[in-house]
Amino acid sequence: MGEDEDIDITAKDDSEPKEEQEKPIVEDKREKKLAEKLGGGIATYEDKYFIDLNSELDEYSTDTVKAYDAGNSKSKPRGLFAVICNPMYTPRTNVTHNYKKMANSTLPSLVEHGRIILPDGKARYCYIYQNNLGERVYNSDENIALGWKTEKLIETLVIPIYNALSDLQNRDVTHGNIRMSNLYNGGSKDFEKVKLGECLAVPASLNQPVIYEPTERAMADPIGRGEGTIKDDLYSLGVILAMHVRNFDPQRGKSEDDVIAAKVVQGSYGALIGSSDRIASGVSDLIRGLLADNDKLRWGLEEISEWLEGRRPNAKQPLKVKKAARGIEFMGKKFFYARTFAYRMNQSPQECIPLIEGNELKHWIERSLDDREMMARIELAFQSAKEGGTGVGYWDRLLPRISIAMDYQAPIRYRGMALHMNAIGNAMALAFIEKRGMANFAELFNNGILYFWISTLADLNMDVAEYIQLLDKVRGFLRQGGMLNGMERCLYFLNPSIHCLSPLVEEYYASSPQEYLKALESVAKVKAPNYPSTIIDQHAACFLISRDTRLIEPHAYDLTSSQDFRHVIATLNILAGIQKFNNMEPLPNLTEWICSILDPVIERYHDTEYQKKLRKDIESKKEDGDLSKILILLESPEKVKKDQVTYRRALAKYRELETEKQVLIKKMQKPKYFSERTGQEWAATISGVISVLIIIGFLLVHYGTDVPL
Amino acid sequence: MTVKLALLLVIIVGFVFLPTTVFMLFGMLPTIAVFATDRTVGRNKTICIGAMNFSGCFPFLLEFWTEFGQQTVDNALRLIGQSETIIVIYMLAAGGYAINKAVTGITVSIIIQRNERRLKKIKSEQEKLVKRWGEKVTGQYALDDYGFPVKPIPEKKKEEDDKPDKEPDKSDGQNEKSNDQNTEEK
Repeated sequence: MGEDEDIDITAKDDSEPKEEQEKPIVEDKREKKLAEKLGGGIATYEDKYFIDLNSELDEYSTDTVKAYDAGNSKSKPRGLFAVICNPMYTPRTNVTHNYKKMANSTLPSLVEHGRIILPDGKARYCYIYQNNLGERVYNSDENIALGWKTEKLIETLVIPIYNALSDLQNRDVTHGNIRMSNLYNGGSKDFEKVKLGECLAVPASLNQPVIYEPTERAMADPIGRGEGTIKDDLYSLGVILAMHVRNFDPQRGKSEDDVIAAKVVQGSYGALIGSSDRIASGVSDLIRGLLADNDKLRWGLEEISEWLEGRRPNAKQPLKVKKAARGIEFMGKKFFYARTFAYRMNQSPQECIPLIEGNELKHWIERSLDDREMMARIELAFQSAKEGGTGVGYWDRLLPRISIAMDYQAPIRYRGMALHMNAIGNAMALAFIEKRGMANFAELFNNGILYFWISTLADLNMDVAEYIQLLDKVRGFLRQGGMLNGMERCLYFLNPSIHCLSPLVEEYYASSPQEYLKALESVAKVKAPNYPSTIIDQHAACFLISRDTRLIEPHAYDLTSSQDFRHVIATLNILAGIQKFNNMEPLPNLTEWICSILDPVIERYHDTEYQKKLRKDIESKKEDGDLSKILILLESPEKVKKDQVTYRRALAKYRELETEKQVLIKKMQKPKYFSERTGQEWAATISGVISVLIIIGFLLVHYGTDVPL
Repeated sequence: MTVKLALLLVIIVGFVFLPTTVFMLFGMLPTIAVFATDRTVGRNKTICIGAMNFSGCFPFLLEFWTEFGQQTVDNALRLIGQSETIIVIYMLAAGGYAINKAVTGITVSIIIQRNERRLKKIKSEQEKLVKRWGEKVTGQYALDDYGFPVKPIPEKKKEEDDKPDKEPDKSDGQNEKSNDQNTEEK
């Protein structure tokens, strides 16, 4: 980190740095995840477009995404180029639809976008553009000082980029990727108007070096910068213009931290254009306006339009950054600005604890910086952190709060992360994909830091209602347990563009419920016949409920039940619902899979004969690939009722038989008690009959008809 | 009270018709003997032997009342003393014994066989029920509201239940004669 002494820094900027005095570039700790190597072959998009993975286009590739030749022809796809998204990063699908409606010659025309199938059956998200950008104008973003004239600047850069940004703003889209290495010549070396490269494949500003970003965004991790606004795009434009008109690079050889410090101390304009560099006043106004550090004072499209028409928009004097009378020493350096100190402090949190414990920081703010508002915020930070006790975790709660109190515009810093609020979703997505750092987010949501940040902004009369709503919902998800809550639910709520990260389907890039179903179909094909026993896990459930509440809410109770059959029937209901409502094609493999786990549901029918019949019926319907048909077989209320009724009868019948059996067994153990009595009764009867017959016979024989009686 | 009155009445009638009474006393001796030892409910054995015994006495009784002369005790004793009389009467009484034995034996045998057949049928029906509805239909396990066992049915119990039911002990019927005196009716 460079020293913040005004005099030293200014002296360094006045001249071309000599090689021996050049500081080594500090290694950028904020690594980006490199684009993966996909191997060769042809990837397909809905059998309409084909992407030649053997033909990488360096012109359109970056570290994080690769571009390839694409076209309609399967044998030699050409005419288009496809940018295949890195699965580590969420593509900007939330603005893609609006972007596609545009037709601006400065921007690449988006032909198609969506899920492509790689040769190995896996999937990726992809953007397919018309291949008319030409060649990259600059291959690097460093050490650029071109000394252009104003007219050339206006014609080649200002007007086309202004037009592009106007169109983008009308569609509510930020570019987020405006930099020197993303400018193209349209196919002609003597180009008159520059073209901008693509901006949708990775989160906004992910690939932007810090020089192109306003200070507060530059301080954040690349993944933590957020979507940004038109003002941020205009700032990037200002940086490009500064690079074109200046005659030397004041930041040459400086590290990212040095660049940020220079922007804070000298202002962005001062940091980019050395005080000794002579720039035409007209274009200087434009660049100054675009590079205003306060985005409220920064020029917008209206001001640029006025400037292009030859009028001078009202100059807005920037607020001077407060400088301390005396520096505070930290890590062998002296800091005079709260912003730079807060930035450095969070890079070495353990080392600043003595400064805080010893009240040195408080004294510095109170006496040297003389900023009472900041002091009040610091006191609130201490109070707020102490609410959770001063034991374990106290410093983890305090340091971010102090950072916010000292620089509320800066990203929220916690345990090595530096994120803006609207970028938490993207950062969480990366953490989930990398499978590390999730605990930090949970702590961030639960330990009040975000609420402290919101309350700080509220005290400064900023609009925070949206943030409060967001945070309340997130904390609600974390408080409630179960399959439909937790960190997974937070992820899909905060990042509506992310694909489903369920381990089963992660590689199939399902970013909608229909694609989720198609992914399951592919999984089923691969895994057959050894299907996993669970289809919808917590990730999938949270993903689906975030995309379409109607799909899951009616079955939420059953899906989260510990009883197998409930979970299975809920799964079938949900999947059948997705297939039906989206009029999807048959899914025979998925149907086969779900039929393999239906046993708990079938066994809910008591009648084993009906179970056999049901299995037979399911077997016959399986091949149709229609999940609704299977559901109808299983969820017939009449059949359920009939099964219950006949089962109850069977229970009663068994009881009856058992009672009879016991009685019979008892009788047969002592037959004389029961059987002999019957025998003797019969004997008595027979004997009685025989004796009557004997008597009657005697009377008839002896007396004939003259019976004396 | 009624029994005592009836008994008194019988005794009075017996004395009034003393010769007939004497004749019947000797003639129905087998019945009296059975009556004294018969502990069965309803005294069916007594009825069985008594009926045959009476049918043997009846012709001679009729003869005594109509043809034999005056109805005196001496004539009654003379009639009963005739060998023909004793043989016929006692033969028929023996016939009563035979009927009792035979019919009882046959009936017991039939009933036992019928019960055994019924037991087999019950077992078969129960097995069918178990096969169709599962072990839970036996009622041996606690069931939830939907009729499913609250706890899983252990495997060992299933194997024990698969063993054939214990056959009833037939020997008790054959030993009935020796235990006859100790018979108790429920």
